[in-house]
Amino acid sequence: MTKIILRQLIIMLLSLITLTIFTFSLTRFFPVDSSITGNANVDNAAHLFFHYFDYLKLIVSGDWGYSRINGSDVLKDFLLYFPATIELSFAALIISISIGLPLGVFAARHKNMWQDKLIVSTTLVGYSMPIFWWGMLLVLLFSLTLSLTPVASRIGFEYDILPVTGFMLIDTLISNKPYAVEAFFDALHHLILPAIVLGTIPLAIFTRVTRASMIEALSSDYIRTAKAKGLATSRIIWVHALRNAMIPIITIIGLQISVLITGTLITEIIFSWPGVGKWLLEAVYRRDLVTIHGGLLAIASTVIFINMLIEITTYLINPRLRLQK
Amino acid sequence: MHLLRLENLSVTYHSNNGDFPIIERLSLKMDMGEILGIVGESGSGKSILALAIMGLLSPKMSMRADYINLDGQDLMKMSHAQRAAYVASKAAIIFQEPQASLNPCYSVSSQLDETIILHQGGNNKLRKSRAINLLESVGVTQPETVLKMYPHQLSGGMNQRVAIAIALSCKPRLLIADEPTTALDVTIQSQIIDLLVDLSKAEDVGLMLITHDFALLSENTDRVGVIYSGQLMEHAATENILSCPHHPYTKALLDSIPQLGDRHIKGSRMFALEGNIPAIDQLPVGCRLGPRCPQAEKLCVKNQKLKTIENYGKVRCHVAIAHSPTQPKDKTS
Repeated sequence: MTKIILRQLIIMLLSLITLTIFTFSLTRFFPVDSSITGNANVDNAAHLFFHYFDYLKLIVSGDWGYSRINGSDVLKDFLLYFPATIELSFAALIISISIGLPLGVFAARHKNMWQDKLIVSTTLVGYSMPIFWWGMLLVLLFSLTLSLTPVASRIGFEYDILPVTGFMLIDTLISNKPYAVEAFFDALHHLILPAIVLGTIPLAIFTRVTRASMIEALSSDYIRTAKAKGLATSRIIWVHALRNAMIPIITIIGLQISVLITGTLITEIIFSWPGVGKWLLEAVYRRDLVTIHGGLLAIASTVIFINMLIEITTYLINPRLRLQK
Repeated sequence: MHLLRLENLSVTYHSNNGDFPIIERLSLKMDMGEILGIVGESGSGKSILALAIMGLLSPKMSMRADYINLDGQDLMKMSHAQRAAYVASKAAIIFQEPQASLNPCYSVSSQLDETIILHQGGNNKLRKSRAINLLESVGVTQPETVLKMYPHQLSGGMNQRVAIAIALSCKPRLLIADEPTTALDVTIQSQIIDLLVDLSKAEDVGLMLITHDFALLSENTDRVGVIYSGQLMEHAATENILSCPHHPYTKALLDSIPQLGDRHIKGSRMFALEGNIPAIDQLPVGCRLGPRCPQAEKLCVKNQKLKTIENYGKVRCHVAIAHSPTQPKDKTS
């Protein structure tokens, strides 16, 4: 086990080095910031090599340069906006997994019956939904017509919550304001619609993958053995079949986490969600190359880190990988 | 008292192109502790017979029977859940691919333990000792180590032993082995068959050995049932079938066994019945074997009935019955 974690850490480190080489090359092509690029007029390869190490030193020490627009520290900015993105992405993830997985299992158990066909066709619609249109449609229906959810932002302006962790759901609870609990539910209320919008496509994907994977698992010989043993149906489905079906599902979930974190952009714009996507888009509009560089580096590192976690989870769940000699 | 009595068991496959019979009005009896061999070529419906008895048919198939009497109770009179529980407590099945029939994500101990919980119970310590006893009884030399392992870490023969241990954990009265050795190499084959026969004799467990290998049955079984295209063609004591097979299909099966050593005639070719088993949607009129039968005659286009031959067994072939020797060589059945 330690060996596997160590190996994954080394793979992550190598990926990060590749990433920094890429971002460093970008700084050579575009005028980012003299504080990061050093002297741009060097074409000696050896000098380039030393410049790369200087660059690496700066990145590791946390000096990611300053925004060309407002002069704020890029890393600090990122850390300010990142929790909002994480909160939204994970809310979307939780919604899509908690609905998609059972739905997929249900569809697999009713394979080729009307329930299954309904689920498959609905998920196809969900999967091909353009998010910007879908998001606005839901805002139009739930926020403007039915007045069930707020239109935008993370929390009502009547609550004054200091950012401590950056996660609104946690900050509201640990604030010692008298309205802490109300604020928590208000934050949750603000979170729900963007999370549904963001979670729509992953929900469709998880349902379809779970269905396919479950159908395969349910038709396998060990399920027939489990039935012959006289086990309860619930145990056959949720213990014997799902554990095997989870192996491809976990991989897809990992890929989708990356897609969610990098893809919050549209949802954040629609709901004025103060996250990384909105921050980066504004930087692009203003040609703020230092910020773009920092955002790229940070988001890519996050994706690499999450991929490592998923790899380790896959090892844990699949004894065939875990016990290889 | 019979262990298993089937009367007119039919299995139908429901496809988009209509319903097709896989097994047709099959009747069978097994005594307590009897070893019955079921033989037939691929696609003859022998595995479906096993699945039908166990209640494991796929949803696309349905079964009918006058009764299926297993250890004194009629399965056809039970509800679905009742039947599943009753069958699991009385009968167990071992499949062809030992590696695939064990769950790859769980260790041997947890797969063995869940049936012990279901059928024997007991606290953790007791269950573990039971698991070790079971593994020892199927000839596993290091049960403690094997318990901790996963199916992919074990060999095919070892996995089949584990599968047999799991099957035995419900203390079955009937053990169905559906081609238990097809996926294993020859030395392991004989070990596994010996193990099954020994277990059956030691615990008086009825064993239904399903195979397409007549050689495997000849030494070990009390009786043999020959299935072709979903019909029971011949059902008689093993010595009777070996000494004077009646049905042309049984003869063909016996002739197709390769002979080694002195019995092999140099330069001779092995006998093979021409043609293939009829497709499920293209069954011939009358005798199912008709188009392939070397002895076929005009009357074979009429439906053949399974008839009893005194002192021999049952045969579904009017030609064989007409030409049956009046004095069968062996009367011990």
